[in-house]
Amino acid sequence: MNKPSSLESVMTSVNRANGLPNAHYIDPVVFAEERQSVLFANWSGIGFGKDIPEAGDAKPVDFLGVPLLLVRDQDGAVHVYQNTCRHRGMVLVDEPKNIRGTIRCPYHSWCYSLKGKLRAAPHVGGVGQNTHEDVKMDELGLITFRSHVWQDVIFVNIDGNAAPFDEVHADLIERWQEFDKPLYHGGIDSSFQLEVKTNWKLAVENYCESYHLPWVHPGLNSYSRLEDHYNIESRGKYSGQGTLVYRQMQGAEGEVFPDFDDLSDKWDTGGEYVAVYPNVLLGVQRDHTFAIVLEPKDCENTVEHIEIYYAKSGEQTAGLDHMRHQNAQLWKTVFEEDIFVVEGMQKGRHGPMFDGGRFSPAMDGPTHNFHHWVATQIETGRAT
Amino acid sequence: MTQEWTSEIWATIRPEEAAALHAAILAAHAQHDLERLVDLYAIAADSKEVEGDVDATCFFLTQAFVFALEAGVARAHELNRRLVAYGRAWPLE
Repeated sequence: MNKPSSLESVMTSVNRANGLPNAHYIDPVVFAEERQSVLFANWSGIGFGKDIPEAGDAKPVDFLGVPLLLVRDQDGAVHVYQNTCRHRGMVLVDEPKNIRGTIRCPYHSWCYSLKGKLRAAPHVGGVGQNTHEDVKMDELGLITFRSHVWQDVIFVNIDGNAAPFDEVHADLIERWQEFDKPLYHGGIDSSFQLEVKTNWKLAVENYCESYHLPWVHPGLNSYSRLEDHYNIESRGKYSGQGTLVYRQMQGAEGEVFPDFDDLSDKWDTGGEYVAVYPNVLLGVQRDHTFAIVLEPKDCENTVEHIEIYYAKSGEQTAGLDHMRHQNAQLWKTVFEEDIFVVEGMQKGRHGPMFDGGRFSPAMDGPTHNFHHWVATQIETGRAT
Repeated sequence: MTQEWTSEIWATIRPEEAAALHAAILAAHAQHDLERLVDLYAIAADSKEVEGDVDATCFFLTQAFVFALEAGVARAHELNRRLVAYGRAWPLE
């Protein structure tokens, strides 16, 4: 392995800082380092509660090579298990399904409850003998990862050492406490994925800042001008952008999506778009929210999982199906407009003389905030 | 053979009927019919119990118990109790 590059130039003020070096976008060795120090050491998004809506629903997820199993138990709680049998290491569930009773390993049928407890190890002591003095059932439950659900995103801390989610993200939770309300997924149109040829961090960086809006999203500019946006920066925590001129979508008859209950005046025309480090992008507005989980496939490929939510259910607002469809198309267009940018930045980082780039001190604070955070995680990992 | 296996006929299984039971179990496996697997393995266990073959009984009880657990059916408790009575399983909580 080459000597790790110094990140001092990243961790200075935005006025003088450089961005993360090329290796952090194109070098598989650095990608492996970030996998551990950035993605596994923090609270990463891996899926959505809406993917396992019913008791017994189970969905396998491969997160950077780690086989995970998302499960909703009979009490409605979400669990994230290592999708690996404690016996011979067989993957337990290979496709989404509803589990009526226990999770049964397809190899030797060791059975686990939805809460992860080992309930049967058939023939473990010989034929027809289901006990053995050296096989302790209560020591062989499923490996459980710490998980937390917020804004319907399922977060997981793989290495188990992060501070509690509520503590890490206390400021943002407080900032958006008015949106801590039931969310109703918009249905099949409101769920889409984009496969992009880019390192996952570039998707975060692009999302954080409004600087690019007039150039990349000219359609937004007609009503959402650059000067109507503000930076959101919390050093070591999160960053993003806000708008002062969010305008509700209106149907032909003037119909609108119902608002979330009890919002303050700020949200009449306000909207905020924040990157929850490391890999979750959230947006909130008076009448709908969205969540994006960035799934890093490898150093240069990412899948964006995008879900849109509303204040009321589809059943409660059946007459607005056409608008939900239209809204999803609008957001999909916006996110697709960003693809050439994040893919172009990825290609640009193969230029060996690129030095990480210089930031606009006025406009790029949120992006630099993310770079600073990533660099801090890497330095922390190197120090331990 | 189209023998319809039900729990009522467990005591009447004759050697020549064992093949049909075996075939029914294979078909239930192929169809992932958990409730059927529970019933059929329990029938096999019952027949072996009548013969006094404890190891074979507990083998089939175990099979029935596992599929009952997977299916989430209440019969898992009854099957577990029988295994526990033979000293072959821990009691379910």
